[in-house]
Amino acid sequence: MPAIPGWALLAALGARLRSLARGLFHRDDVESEIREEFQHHVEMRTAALVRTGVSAADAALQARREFGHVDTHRADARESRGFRSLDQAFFSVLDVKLALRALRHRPLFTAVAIITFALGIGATTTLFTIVNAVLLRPLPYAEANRIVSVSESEDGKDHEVTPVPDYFAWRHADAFSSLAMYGGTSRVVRAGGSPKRMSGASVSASFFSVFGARPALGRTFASGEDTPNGPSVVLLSHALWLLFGGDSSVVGKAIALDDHPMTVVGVMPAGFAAPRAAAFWVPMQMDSVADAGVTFYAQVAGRLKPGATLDDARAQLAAILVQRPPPAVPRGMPKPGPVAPVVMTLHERMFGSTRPALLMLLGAVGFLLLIACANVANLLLARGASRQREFAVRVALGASRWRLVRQLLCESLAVSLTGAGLGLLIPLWTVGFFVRLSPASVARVDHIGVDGGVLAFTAGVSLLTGVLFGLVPAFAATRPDALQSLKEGGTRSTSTSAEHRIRQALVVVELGTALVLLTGAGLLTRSFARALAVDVGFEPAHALSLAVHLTRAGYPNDTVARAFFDRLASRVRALPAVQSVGYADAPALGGYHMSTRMVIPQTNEMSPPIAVMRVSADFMTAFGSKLVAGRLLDARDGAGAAPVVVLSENAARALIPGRTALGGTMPRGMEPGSPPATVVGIVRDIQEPGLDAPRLPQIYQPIAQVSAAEYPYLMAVRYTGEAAELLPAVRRITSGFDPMQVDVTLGAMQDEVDRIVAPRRFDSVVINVFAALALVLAAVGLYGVMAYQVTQRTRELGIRMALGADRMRMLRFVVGDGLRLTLTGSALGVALSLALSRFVAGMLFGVSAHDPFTYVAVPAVLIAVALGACYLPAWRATQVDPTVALRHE
Amino acid sequence: MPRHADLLPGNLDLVILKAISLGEVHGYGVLLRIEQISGGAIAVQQGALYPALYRLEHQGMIESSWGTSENNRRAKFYRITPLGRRRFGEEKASWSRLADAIALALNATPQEI
Repeated sequence: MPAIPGWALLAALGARLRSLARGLFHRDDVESEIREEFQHHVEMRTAALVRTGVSAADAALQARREFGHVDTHRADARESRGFRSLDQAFFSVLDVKLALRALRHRPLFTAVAIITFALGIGATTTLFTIVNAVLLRPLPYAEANRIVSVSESEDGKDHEVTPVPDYFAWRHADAFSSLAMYGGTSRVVRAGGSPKRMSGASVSASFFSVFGARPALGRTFASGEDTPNGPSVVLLSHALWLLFGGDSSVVGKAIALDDHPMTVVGVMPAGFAAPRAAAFWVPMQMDSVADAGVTFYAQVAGRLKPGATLDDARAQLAAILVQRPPPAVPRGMPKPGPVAPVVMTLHERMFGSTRPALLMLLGAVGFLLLIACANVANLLLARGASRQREFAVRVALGASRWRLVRQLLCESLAVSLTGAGLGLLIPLWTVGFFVRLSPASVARVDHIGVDGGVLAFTAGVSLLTGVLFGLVPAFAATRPDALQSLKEGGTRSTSTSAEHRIRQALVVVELGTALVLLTGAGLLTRSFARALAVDVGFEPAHALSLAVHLTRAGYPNDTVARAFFDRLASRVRALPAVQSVGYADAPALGGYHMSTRMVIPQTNEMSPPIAVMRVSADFMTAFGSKLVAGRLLDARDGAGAAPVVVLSENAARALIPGRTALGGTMPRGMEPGSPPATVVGIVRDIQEPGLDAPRLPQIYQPIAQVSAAEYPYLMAVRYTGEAAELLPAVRRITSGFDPMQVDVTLGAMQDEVDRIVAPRRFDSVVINVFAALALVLAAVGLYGVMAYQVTQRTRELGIRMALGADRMRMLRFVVGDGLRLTLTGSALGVALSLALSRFVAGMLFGVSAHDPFTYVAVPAVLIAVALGACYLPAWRATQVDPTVALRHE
Repeated sequence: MPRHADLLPGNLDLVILKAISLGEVHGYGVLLRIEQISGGAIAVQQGALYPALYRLEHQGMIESSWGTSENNRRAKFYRITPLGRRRFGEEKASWSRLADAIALALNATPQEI
C-alpha cells in the first residue's frame, strides 16, 4: 500500500472534524436537511414512475415503499456520519441508571466489592496523607528548596551543628545570598496572666532573610543587634502577639522575658514559626572570638543564590575551612580528625531519615491496593460470567457490544468511586492514630490532613483502577462467541478456560503479593522485637528522669549549679515513694557527651573516644546501672577520698586490655594534676535499643572529685509503686522551686527508651496492619475462586460421586486444587520477597533480610490460612447430591 | 446495520465515487447514473445509498452543496474532492490488480501447474 501523503491525512482529519462539529452544533439543521434530501429522492422516483405510466397515487406509494423505512435510514445516516463514536461514547444517564440498578440487584456482591476496594483505597490514602505531608510538601517558606542546612562533620561523622567561629568565617561564602545561625531557647513570658515558659529561637540578624520572611508589623533585627552587648530586643510570633492583646501599638513596648525587659521591634505573620514552633525570636548575641577555650555550637542555615548548587556551597565552605587556623588542643588530647562541611537542603535535614521507611511503606500499601483491585476484578469476572444470558438477550434485541461494555464499565466505576468515597473515611479516622505513633510525622502534625492533593490522588487512583480492572471483565463478559453459545441453547453460563485461568492467575498474584507483605511484616516485627530485647545496660522501670537546664544568667558557675541540684535532690528524696535520687552532667541516652581519649600504656595506641559522666553519689543506684563486678559509686567517694572511677565493660576493655580492670588504675589522672584513679567497679554499657553497639563506652566519675565540670543536667529518681502518684508530686516541687530559672522536662525513664524504638514500632505496626489486610483479602479471593469452581463443576463432581468416589476423595480433590494455587502463589511470593529484600535490609536490626525462620514460617501461615479458605467450598463439594447434580444441567 | 450481500460497502463506495466523479449530481441522480454506466447490471439498494454518501462525505471524499434540481426543487448536490479522487485512483488500481489475478487463476490450464 502506497504511503499516504501528509496533505491527505490532514484533509481527511479536517473533513471528519468538520462533519462531527456540524453534527454536534447544528443537529437540527442536519436533521431537516436529511429529511429534505430523502423527500426529494422519493419525489424524483415518483416522477420517474409516473413517466412510465403508473398513476400518481400508486407511484407515490411505490416510491415510498422502495425507499424503505425513513427512520431506519435516518439512523443509519446518522451513524455513518460518525455520530456513533461521539454520541454514544460517553455515559448517558440511562447507562448510569441501569448500572446502579444492576448493582442494587445483587447487594452482597456490591457490598463485598465496595468494601474490598474501600480497604485498599483507605490504606493507600492514609499512608499517602502522611507521605505527602512529611516528604512531598515543601517547607512553608518562600522558595523553600533554596534553603540549606549546614553543619560540620569530624572524621566523617556529622555533628549536626557548627562551631560558631566557623560560622563567622563561612559568612563570606559566595554561594549564599544570606547565612544565619540559630538555636533553640526557652524563656518565661508574662502575657496576660501567670508566667509561662515558652520555647523560641535565638537567631542572628540574617535569619529572616534566609527564611524569606517579612514582618507583619515593625521590623526584624538590624545587623548590629546580634553582636555581644547588643540591645535587648525581641520579635513576637503572631500567636504570642495575640496573647499580648493583638493591637499594632505593641511595637516599641517592653515585655518581660525571664524577668528581663525586652523591647518589641516587630511581629511576624501568622503561620511563621521557624525553625520549629518558635513563639518569639531574640538576637543571638555572639561574635567569632572563642570564649576562654569553650566552643559554642549553633545550627546554621543559608539561602543559596540563584544558580548556586549544593556542591558549589560545599566546595566553597570546605575551602574556607582549610584556611582556618587549627583549634587549640589541650595537652594529651589527640588532634581532632579532618573536618568537612555537610550541606543539605533544610527539608532533607529535617525529614531525610524518614524517607526509606516511608517509601517502603508506600510500596507495601501499593501491593495491598493491587490485591484489593485483583479481588474486585475477580468478583467482576465472576459476576460477568453469570450474567451472560442477560447479555445474550440484549444483544439479540440489538444492543451493540460497546453498549454493554459501557454499562459494565459504568458499574465498575460506580463500585470504585463509592469504594473510594468510603475509603476516604479511613484516613479521616486513623490518621490521628498513625501520627501519634510516628515520630517523624509529629514534626509536621499541623500539616497532616486530607487535603486537595490527597483527594486528587484518591480520585485519580480510583478512576484508574475502576477503568482498568473493569475493562477486562467487561470485555470478557460480552464476548460474542460466548453469547453465541448461549443462544444455541446452553442454559448454563460458563467462562471459558481462558477466563478461568485469568481468575486463577489473579488469585495466584494475590497470594504471592500477600506473602511479600507478610514476609516484610515478619522481618520488621522480629527486628522490632530484637531491638526491644537489647539490654540497655540499666533499669529504666520504676525510674523517673528529670532534665534540668539551668541558664547561665541565673547560675553563673558550676558550684552554684551543683548546690541547686543538691537542694532539689534532697527535696525529692523526702517524698515517701522515692528510694534514691542522683544527678549527672550528661543525658543518659543519646545526646551530646563530653568525650576523652587516652594513650594506653600497654599498646601505646590511642583509645577510641569514651564518654565521661560526672555523677552525684547516688546517681548510679537511682539510675539503675547494672553492676558486673566491684561496686557502684556512692557517698564515700567524696572530695577528699581517693580518686575512683567506674568503667563500663567496653571502656574497661579499651583502656585496660588484657587483664581484669577491677582494682587497676586508669592510664592517667582524670583531673589535671591528680593521680590516676582506681577502678572500683565495672558496669554494663548503656546501649540504645536498635543500635548494634553502644554509642560510646562510659567512664563514671564522682562529681565531688571534679574540679570544674559541666553543669549537672540529668536527675534520676528511683521509686516504688505507681508513677502516676509520684509525677505530680515531683512536678509540684520543681515548679515551686525556682520557676524563673528552671527549665524542666520530667518523665518516666522508660518513655525515653521507648522514644528511641518509636520509629521501629511505627514501621512494624503499619506493615502488620497491611499484611493482615492483605492476607484477609487474598483468602477471600481464593475462597471466591474455589467456591465458583465448585459450582461450575457440580455436574462433574456428581458424576465422580456416582462412580463411587467417597467424600474424602472429593474433599482432597477440591482442596488439592486450592493447594496448587496456594503453592504457586507462595513460590511467586518467596521469589519476589527475596528480590525485594534489599529494600528492607537497611531497616532491619539483628535479623538478616534472608532470615530463614521468617521465610519458612510465613509461607506456612499463608498455606494454613489458604487451606482454611478452601475448606468451606470443599465441604460444600462433599455435600453434592449426585442425583441432583446430574439432573442439573 | 444489516449487511447487503450484493454489493459490499467498499465496492459500493468505489462505484459511487466513480458516478460522482463524472460530474456534480444529487442522491437520486447517483442511483440513475450507476445503473447507466453499469449497463443495468448494478442496482443499488436504496437503503444503502444515503449511508454510503454520508460516510463518504464524513471522510472528506465528496462535498455537498444545495442547488436546484431538474424538477425545480431544492436538492443536495455532491462533488468529488481531491482527496476523493486520490482514493478512487487507489481503489481502482487495487481492484484492477485483483480482477487480473482472479482471471489468471481461473484460466490456468493443467500444463501450467
